[in-house]
Amino acid sequence: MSNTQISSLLRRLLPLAGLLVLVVFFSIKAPRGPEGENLFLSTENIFNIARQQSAILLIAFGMTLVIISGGIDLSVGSVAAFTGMISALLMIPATKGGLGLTVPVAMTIGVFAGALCGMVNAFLIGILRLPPFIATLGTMGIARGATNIISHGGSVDVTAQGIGWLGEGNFLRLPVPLWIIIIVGLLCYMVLNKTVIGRTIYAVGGNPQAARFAGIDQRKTLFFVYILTSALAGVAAMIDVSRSISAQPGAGMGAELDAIAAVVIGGASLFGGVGSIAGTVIGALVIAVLKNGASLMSVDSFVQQIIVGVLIIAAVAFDQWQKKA
Amino acid sequence: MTRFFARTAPLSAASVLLGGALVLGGCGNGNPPEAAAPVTNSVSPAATSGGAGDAKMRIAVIPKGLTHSFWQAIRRGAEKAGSEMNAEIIWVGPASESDGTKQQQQIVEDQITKKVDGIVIAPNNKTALVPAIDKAAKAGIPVVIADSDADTKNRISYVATDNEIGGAMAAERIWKLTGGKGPIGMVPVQANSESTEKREKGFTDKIKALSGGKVKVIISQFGESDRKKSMTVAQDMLTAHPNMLAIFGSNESSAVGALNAIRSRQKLGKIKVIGFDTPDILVEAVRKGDVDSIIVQNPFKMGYEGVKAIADKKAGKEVKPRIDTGVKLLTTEDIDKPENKEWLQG
Repeated sequence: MSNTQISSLLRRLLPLAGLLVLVVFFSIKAPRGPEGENLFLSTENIFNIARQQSAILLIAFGMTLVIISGGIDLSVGSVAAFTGMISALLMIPATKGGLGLTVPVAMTIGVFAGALCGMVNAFLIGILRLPPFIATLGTMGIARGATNIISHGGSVDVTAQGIGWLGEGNFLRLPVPLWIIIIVGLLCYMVLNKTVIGRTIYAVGGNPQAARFAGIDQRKTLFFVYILTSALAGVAAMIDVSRSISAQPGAGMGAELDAIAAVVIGGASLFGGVGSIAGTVIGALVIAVLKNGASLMSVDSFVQQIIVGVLIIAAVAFDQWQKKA
Repeated sequence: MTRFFARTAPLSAASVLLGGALVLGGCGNGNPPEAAAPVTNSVSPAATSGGAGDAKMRIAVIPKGLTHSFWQAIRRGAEKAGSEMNAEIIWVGPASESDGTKQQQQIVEDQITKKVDGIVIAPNNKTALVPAIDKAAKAGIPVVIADSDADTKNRISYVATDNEIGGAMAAERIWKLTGGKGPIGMVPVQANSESTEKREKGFTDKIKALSGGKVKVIISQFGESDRKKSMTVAQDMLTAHPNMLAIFGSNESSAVGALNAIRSRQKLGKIKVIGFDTPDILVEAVRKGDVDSIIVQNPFKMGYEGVKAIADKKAGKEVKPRIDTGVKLLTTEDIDKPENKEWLQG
């Protein structure tokens, strides 16, 4: 095998190996239940992880496409807070002076609001040609400020019928958020690997000049990835609202960094052109398992922060070495 | 060179993972050196597989955050009760309070998975934590809410300061200091935090009552439990109201923020500050007279009573649904009196 083949294989296998190391470690070391049962590997715990991490994973799916296209989206956390707040406000009952929309209607509107935010990002990046980092840094602040304005800085409680289903309910015995991430994950995988737009995302991120010469419309690609990412941030927000039966103006703070961490640990390159949905799932699982296992073992959250930080550095360092290679 | 990196890079990344795992293992098994009471963070296999009869009770104590000295006092109280009642205290909380709500949800869910015998929690948000708390109750785990309430009936007791009285005490003191004049300011903490909202309400209501509605409290933006943010919003308030006479900060970071804002304007002692809680910096400032007085609570007692309530419940004893842990105002004169020593532990 050539060096490139080896390194591309390693890029795929390393995160998986890391995940396996963690799973084995926690299976052995995490505390047992009163009857000596393995709590870490219990169905309840695995469903818990799915419910807890589904929002970040949804955002990370979008972020994968953005990063492959050579961009970054810092606004996802704020967009999540904004869309969640819009939905919660729309669900305020008529008796309290609100519109009293039903859960599905209010949430659909919320996701569309997310898509609109994505359109703004795409306009700034694709048409006005602002660097993605700057454009989304700006919209991150705008969306957060807008959230605080529409909510007057406070959280909004949701009492609408059936609010808990999306985040806490089950469908065919599996948690609803788990179904959502499976479906969205498969769709993103299909888009990236089986469609023309998927090819262009890799092309635009891998070699923008060549993509231009090949006649690829970069703008179309960029609109697609940024709108999708913000809409997924909206879906993530709905799960959070459902789990909290309220919308918090501070929701999603740092979500962009968690999502980027998952994508990068999963082997994507911040230089663009490289990355995969499977990798992101593994990257997100590495972080999720680490957090959950540490929590079960009562390791304090400061230590978790350090370990996730070290993992990110290790993943990016590996990426840098490969670039030189 | 290329080959070298291709071979060593994966190795180093893998060793980082292993190293991380080892760090976790080390922390999980070790006792924190500063803890007086034995806090075993992990369950030894012997405790679970062997003699189930004398197995220690495991009680999770979940603060709003880990950074404030207030929570450390709760921890000491909880650990004292734990050692007296043969319970293992699992101390676990979000790294910071600003985004702690979601982390607390996860922590509670993880404790349910762990099948702990009881949970003592100070919820960051009175609504958002309700589903998680209800889940614990449904799993048969008794929950005590400490410090700050949540909108749920699924708790065996609420162990806390009467925060409204605390706020009203601050208002009476300020009223005396300013001779019944305004402007009087306040640095609030954050939206939907039950304990601090009560203090703020107690304060503004009392000023309103004392002045017959003539003096309105000027309220800055939220300090968000962050000293720097609190200082910024206090500074902005002073810019808008340069003739401010006194400021009430409704938790330790709001109070420290107000203090630092006044210091940066070189008006220490001229603009009176009344704070809440007892981080060293505030206690020292009261001694020096930079801060007029602090309202103190008894977090040690909160931690102690919280754990005791769970142990009592498990032993089939009756548990009071509301346990008031008391509140007190300390000025420069009485802060170092021996009878107040217990109140400064936070």
